[in-house]
Amino acid sequence: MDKPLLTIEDLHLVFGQGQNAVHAVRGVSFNVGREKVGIVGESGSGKSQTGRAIMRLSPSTVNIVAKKMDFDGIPLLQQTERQMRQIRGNRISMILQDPKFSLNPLMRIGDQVVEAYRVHHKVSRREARARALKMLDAVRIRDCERVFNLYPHEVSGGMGQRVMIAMMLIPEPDMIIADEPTSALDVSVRKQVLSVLDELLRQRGTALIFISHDLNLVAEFCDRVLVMYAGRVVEDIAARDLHKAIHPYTRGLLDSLPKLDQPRDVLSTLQRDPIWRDAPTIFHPREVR
Amino acid sequence: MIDNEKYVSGWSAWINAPIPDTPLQARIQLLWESLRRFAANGSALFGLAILCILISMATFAPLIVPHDIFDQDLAKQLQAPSSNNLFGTDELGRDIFSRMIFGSRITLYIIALTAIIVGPVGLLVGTVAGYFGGWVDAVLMRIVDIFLAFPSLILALAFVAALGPGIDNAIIAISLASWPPIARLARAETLTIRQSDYINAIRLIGADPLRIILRHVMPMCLPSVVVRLTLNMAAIVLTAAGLGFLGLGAQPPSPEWGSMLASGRQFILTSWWIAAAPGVAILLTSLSFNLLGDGLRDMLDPKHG
Repeated sequence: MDKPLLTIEDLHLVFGQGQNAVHAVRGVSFNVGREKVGIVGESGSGKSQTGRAIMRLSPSTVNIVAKKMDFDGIPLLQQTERQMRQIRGNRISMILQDPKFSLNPLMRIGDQVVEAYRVHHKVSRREARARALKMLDAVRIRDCERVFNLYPHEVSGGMGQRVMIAMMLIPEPDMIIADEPTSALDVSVRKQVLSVLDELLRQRGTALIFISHDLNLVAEFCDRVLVMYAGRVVEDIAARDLHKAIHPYTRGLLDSLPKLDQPRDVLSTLQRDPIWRDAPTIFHPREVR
Repeated sequence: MIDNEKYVSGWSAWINAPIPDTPLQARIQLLWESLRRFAANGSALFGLAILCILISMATFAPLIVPHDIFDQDLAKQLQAPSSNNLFGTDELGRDIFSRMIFGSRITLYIIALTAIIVGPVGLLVGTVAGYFGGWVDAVLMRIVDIFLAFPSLILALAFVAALGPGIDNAIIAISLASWPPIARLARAETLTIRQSDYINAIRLIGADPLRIILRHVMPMCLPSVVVRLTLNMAAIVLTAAGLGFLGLGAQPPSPEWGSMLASGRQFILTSWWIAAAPGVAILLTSLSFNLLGDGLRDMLDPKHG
């Protein structure tokens, strides 16, 4: 693997202080190169908070500690807020879950895309507008002149999410964090949005961290899968090798999915072992090999 | 005649169409709907009507008034209302009707300038406090608390006493006394807005706080601030008149309603009309702003429907 873009070593996130402290992420380490990495895990496993911590947009009550959290040689935890603003959007971007809430209801769609570009690039209004129209076209919005002047409530969820992708990709970041980008969407629209995202990432060589709870989706869409459980990465495996997963949690997740080629009367339920919570073992098939 | 009827039915069909053909039509229909709701609100319409009269009175004052407002005629002092002097004359023989009409100019001047100062200041302080939170919020809100601890007239009195009497100082004093409630309202709105996903999204893009506050938070606060400001105008009218009455606002011989009221006080038992005319003017103006503010709130806020 070439030099990783993002390196995280021993990341801890603690909410609150003293007796009420909740240790949400407990020693997560991983690397992301110019590839598509999926993070899967159940609710509360810390996957979204890990994403937010990379952007340094965690709530103010969170205490972030890490041995190392470098993005392209920049130690993210040592950056000032002003330096972070230069990184956010410009180098790392994030796509949020529901376009209904993540677009400003009082601003025209086009103006929001234009603004996203002009935050980091000092260009004339006309040039920014031309770029925004091109970007809307790139996310396969037909009739972009018309959509440019619409308000967010006037477009569908799928189109809203494509606008969101346009907004986040227009400053041409090196890495995108997508926090359940398709959870609020219809199954049929999901494929369309993902293929738009995939195509754009491929063209620009942008890295992706795809946060989801849908193991099938992640296995299909990403190159590598990280499985998180209770604030730890329990498995780090190439997506095509997922069937060779070793950790009992991953195995349990896989077994609980219905398969067309192996029909079963009763799907197995996931049995949780308290040892997984406490033992910091990471099953790393590549290293075993 | 037939053409005209056709036009009317065409218009009503167009405005009432269940499915609008164009976005423009949809927008006009929405506007029409809120206008109809506003028009159905009798008291708000009454407030608007009085306000319109007041504004046209102020605009066309020199054309309306029958007498010069500074023209003293001691031979005609303290005369009861008559066809020549509609609201009678004051202790210096000046026509009260004319003075009252010119007084509306001063009142509107005070209201307009105060609103222009108070709105942006309150909005800025409130959104900054709400957006940043923490010690910024604590400091700004304690300042607001200090201002709110005094009744606004008393506070304005203190400022005028420090700055010296006069209409411009009165405006500054009234502004200083009336921005805190606006700031508090804007802060409360901001607290709910800053949690929303689209503010997070714009932060993810790397926008700086100034841009977020100006372009994304303030527009959301605007409707409630406008309503609050309109309701506040009633209080501004009263405070301005109060300062004039106490001799700290507009100075004689300017025809400010409050100072007219003060000069009428000495003769209130013998010549009631001197105090009555400006008094009724103050009452109607402040009432109209209250009614209009209520109507605006019903129109702008669907929750109050």
